[in-house]
Amino acid sequence: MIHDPEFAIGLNAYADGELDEADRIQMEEHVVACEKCRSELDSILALKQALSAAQFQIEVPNGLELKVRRKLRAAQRRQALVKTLGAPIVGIAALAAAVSGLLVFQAGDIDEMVVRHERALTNGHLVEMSSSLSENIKPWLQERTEVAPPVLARIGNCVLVGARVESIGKKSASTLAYRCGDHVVDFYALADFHRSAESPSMLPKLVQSGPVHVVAWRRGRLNCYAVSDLPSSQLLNMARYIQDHAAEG
Amino acid sequence: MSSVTESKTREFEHEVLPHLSAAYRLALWLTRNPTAAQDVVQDSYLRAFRAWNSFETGNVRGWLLTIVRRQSYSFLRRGRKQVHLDINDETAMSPDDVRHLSHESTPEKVLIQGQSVEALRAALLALPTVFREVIILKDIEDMPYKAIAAILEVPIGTVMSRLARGRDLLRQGLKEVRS
Repeated sequence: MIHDPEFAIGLNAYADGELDEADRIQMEEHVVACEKCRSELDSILALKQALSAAQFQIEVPNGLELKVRRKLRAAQRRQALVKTLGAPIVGIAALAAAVSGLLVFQAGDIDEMVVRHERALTNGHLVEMSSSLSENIKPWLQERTEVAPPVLARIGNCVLVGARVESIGKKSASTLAYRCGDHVVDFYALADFHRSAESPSMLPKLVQSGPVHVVAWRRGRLNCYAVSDLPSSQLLNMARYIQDHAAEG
Repeated sequence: MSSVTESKTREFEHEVLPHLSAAYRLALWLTRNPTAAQDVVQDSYLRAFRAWNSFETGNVRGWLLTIVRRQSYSFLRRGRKQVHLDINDETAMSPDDVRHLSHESTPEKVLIQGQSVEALRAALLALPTVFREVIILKDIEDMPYKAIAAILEVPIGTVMSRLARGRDLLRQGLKEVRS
């Protein structure tokens, strides 16, 4: 075996293909002539082969990517606010809002919805239940979620294509998908049982803008969100339409 | 929300998220704890995001893994007393020990080739962290010495000596598992 640490280092570097040409040739000549070193090299190469071939099956846990994306979105939002208002004001505003309970819409939920929306588009998995008929979609959602939202078959030029159920903030969210030309709009509805069905409504408002906009509103027990890359004004109009025509859904 | 920060986020996600799997693997090998590895990865991405403006073109994967390694070590230091890890001590086994361990006449190639994945994993996890990480980066992640040196923030010579000693220790560990 190799007793000289310096030589052992060289032999390992040779096995890794990391020696320069002159050292490589010198090592090669030595290994050919020295049985002990040849045996040591075989052992190092066998170990490298065993490690690279071993299937350690380390899979990224489900949900880790989503958690990372949520953290990034939260950091992005804070950076944008700091840029606009300055760090001290952001800190004071966040504290004041938290204390007074004014944080009506959960920022984490909104991030998650945006991520789910983008993932659905990327995967092409827009719906689990494909139908443009509200009478098909409504019962399907009622079987799977706590409170199903109003379902309109058409909103202006946008047509219902189906529904899916997403897990947002550990709650099941009814999700309706609409096609508006080349765009897709996802409507998410989350039940809030801390509120009664008669609780006052909140009109739709833009809560996040960017390539993907988010409009949020409240009706009774439902917190509702529209997520899309449609122009924000159009998304707001769709939300208002739903708010106004909810009884028909 | 500012479109500048939005586009920055998208650029970051596009460039850095594809390395999530490598980041998790390294964090898991170093912390040996799946929950801690997830926390380490999340914190690492957040730190990387904050530093994204200062990152110049180069090896994104290596840059991210440097952060993951630092975060993993922070975790290990916090729990050092509980888990009894000697994370920085390269002399956990002395050179004499290593030389002694290397003195073996059995054809090791045959022995190593017969090892199961579980035996390999157990022997790897039993290594001191400084040797384990260099073997992971070289023999599993297949990174060149130069990139490994950048991640470990040490000279290439240190990478080489740790690899030689680490592989010696690993082979010895495999023999012990076998016997």
